[in-house]
Amino acid sequence: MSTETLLIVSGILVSLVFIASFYVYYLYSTRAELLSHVAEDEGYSDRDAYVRDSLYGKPRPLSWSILFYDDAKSIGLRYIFTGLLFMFVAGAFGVLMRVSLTDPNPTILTPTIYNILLTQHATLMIYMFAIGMAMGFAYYILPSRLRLKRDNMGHLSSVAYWMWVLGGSLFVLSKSSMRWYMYPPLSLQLTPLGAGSYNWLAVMAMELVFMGMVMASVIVLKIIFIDRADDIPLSRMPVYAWAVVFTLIMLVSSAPPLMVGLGMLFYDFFNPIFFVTATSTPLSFAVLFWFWGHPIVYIAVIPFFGLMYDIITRFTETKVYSYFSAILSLGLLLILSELVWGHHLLNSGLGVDWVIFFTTMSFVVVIPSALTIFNMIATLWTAKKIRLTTPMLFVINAIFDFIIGGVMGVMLADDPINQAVHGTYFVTGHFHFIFVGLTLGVSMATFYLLFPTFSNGRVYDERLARWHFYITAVGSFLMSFSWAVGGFLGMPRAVAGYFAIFQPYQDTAILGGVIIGIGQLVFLYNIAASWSKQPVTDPYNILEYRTETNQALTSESNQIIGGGK
Amino acid sequence: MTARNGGVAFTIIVVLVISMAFGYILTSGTSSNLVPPTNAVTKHVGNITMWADAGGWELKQGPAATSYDPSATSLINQIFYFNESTLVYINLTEADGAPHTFTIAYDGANTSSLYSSITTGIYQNPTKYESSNSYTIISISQLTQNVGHFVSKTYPFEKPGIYTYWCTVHPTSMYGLIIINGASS
Amino acid sequence: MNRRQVEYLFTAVVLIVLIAAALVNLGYVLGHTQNIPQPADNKTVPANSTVIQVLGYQWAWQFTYANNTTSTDTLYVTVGHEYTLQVTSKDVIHDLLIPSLGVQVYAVPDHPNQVSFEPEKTGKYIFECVEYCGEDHYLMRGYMVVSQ
Repeated sequence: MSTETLLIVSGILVSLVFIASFYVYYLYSTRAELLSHVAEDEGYSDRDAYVRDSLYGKPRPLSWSILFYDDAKSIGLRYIFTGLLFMFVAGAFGVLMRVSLTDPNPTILTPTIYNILLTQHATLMIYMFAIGMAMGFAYYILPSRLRLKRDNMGHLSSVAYWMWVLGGSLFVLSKSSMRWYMYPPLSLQLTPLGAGSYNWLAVMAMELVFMGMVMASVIVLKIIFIDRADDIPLSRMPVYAWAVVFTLIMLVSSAPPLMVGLGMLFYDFFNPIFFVTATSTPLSFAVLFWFWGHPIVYIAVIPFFGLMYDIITRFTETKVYSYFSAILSLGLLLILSELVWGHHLLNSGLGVDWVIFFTTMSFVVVIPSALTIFNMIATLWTAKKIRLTTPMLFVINAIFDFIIGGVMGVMLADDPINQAVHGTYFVTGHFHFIFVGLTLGVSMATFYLLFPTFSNGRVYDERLARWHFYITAVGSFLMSFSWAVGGFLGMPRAVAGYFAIFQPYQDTAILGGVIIGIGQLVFLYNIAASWSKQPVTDPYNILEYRTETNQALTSESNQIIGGGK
Repeated sequence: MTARNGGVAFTIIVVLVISMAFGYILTSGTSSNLVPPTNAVTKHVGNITMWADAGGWELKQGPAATSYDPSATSLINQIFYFNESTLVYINLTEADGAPHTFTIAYDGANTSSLYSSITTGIYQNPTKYESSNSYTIISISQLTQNVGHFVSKTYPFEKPGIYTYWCTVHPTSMYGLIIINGASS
Repeated sequence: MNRRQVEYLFTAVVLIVLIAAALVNLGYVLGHTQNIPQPADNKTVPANSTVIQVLGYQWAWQFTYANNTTSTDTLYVTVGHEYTLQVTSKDVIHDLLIPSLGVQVYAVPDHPNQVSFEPEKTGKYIFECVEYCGEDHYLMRGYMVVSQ
């Protein structure tokens, strides 16, 4: 293609993008204009106040209007569907990475592309999928559960959402291959010339994601603490609301170190003075990173604990075994998980004292996680009957996978084992058990529960949903377990090629990864096909509203799980 | 579009975004300017025969794999001289079971920088050796990590000047020069 | 048993198991301080231990022995003898892992670390870099040869 043609084509493309954005703006302004008139007729001074009041307490199905309205439910829908979208993109990257490892030498992808996919998969899954789903469910479910008195600050929520989306998209565009923890000498060294890695853009994108997340967290905290109905005291809030509170406090309190660190790293790209050996050590960035990087792992798990409590109580028609213990262990997780970040750097030569403190704390942080799981098991144990619907299957599988992943975590906290398996696929297996089993599984369970509301009264195909569950569970177990076994023998992670002796474990993991991918395609087909059918039910879901199912709950259990008019 | 077909709309968006992201990521990486032309005309034939060992490119079989003997690695990283437009056969044998590549880059026609170039090593000017300026003639998967594995490939050296050859996995120990003399015939 | 007793029971079980595990770990760490990666210091190198200087660079490991000979991507040691690796890096952060011995130590530029180990069986074992260090990270690996 000659330079002239290139210029003409790019000119046309840019014009098309401008035309499209002007059209979207035109749509937005006409709708806003119309709404302003309606609001004025209804006696409102502010259009958004009218929108929120008129949407309040009603189910909010998915439509294009979620992009234009700034009420909490619309923001929640935006987060949920953006999170799912990024889950599919990052998941496709992950499956491609798996498939490229069929041969011990990189034959399908070049190592450069493998490393880009590695970075993108990790970052998008954590920041866009896990955080997106956590924020989305909080924005969507909590307003009805806590019967909000008012819903202001919607504009700020919207800005936070768009910053987050922009950050995620720019991260993909950066083609960064520095891995999600961006250790400096490497991130300063990988250049567009060599590795095709625009790391300064990636760091900027991360800052945008962080600002979006922190803004949204503060707003959700304000919704929970200030805007909830007066007859719901803190001591009777749903477990889920407490889980969100703990998560967001953790997010807001541990994000600043890395935000500052990213700023310094950004400066280093142009004038390296902060994380270079002349003035400090590259390890100082690692310390700043893991101060945030460990809490983020809990941020991706704790809100889903809250959802698991909710789903279990709904389908066993009982109350949480011990409400106090549930809240207490989630609260302890908040405090203790801020004290274990050093176990990511046990082998970096920071000394014996460092190892003693952080391995001991890593054992201690397991106590509240174990109490949470025992609490859930006790709830299931005391239930008179358990309705094994698809969401319930996902939740039971999440408990199962969390126990395996948690036991592997306890093993990792043991220093001799940590020295042998840190940086191998054992670690990958450990957190994929938890992330695929718990974060992905409970997201899917909640999505299925909310599906009638999203789709305005349609029901998903139960048979396909069960297939989705079984395929995902089997694939996840196969993949993570073969990683765990291979990692215990020393199979290193984050590599584009491997010693041929690890071929069996890699092959099993490839099989598992492809199976998970097929499972998510079943899910995609299910929602597309089910949405095309006619509405058959009312759009009220059991997580937000009282329906026939919820009527069966006793008044006592209603108090325990809170909300629910 | 309303909630009537939101699932289909979402599916279409997912498929579109995945294919865009794949197209964007998979096209990264640069093509080399040293890719040999298919219609290269060569007048002469030459040979480079070496053993690939992480300690350096050896002219004779290197040390045994059980103990380390520095005296056995004296004949390493030779300079090769060829005439202009020579088709060079590169014959490599795996010596130590480690992964190796045979990669070349064009250093220019100036012969005065010859010995400084070899003593400073290729990290003196890394951008010159980025993937767009270099060409891997024998890759890791072609030269397998089985000791004694033999691989032979050809490369037509048409332009006179200095070429650096090295192993991208061991760039500080395995590098040398190929000098194409434009004057002699 | 009522609800409260069951709750106390599982809390106690969790506490006992984890405190026991933590104590076992603490005992190991305090008893094997030489085997924990720590800043390199010739004064803390154990007696009878041979120092091997290790330099990680993109993308290979270079070992310098006591008699100033070097080897790349192959580590030669003798069985039943204690070695201390003093590991540093030329460019970015690397991480040397010898899975069969359970030895792992980061190679940080300008921050040399040391760790001691004693090979107990002869044979040829793998080692590898397990800290992502750029394009050919996966090739930063080799063999440890333990001879009599």
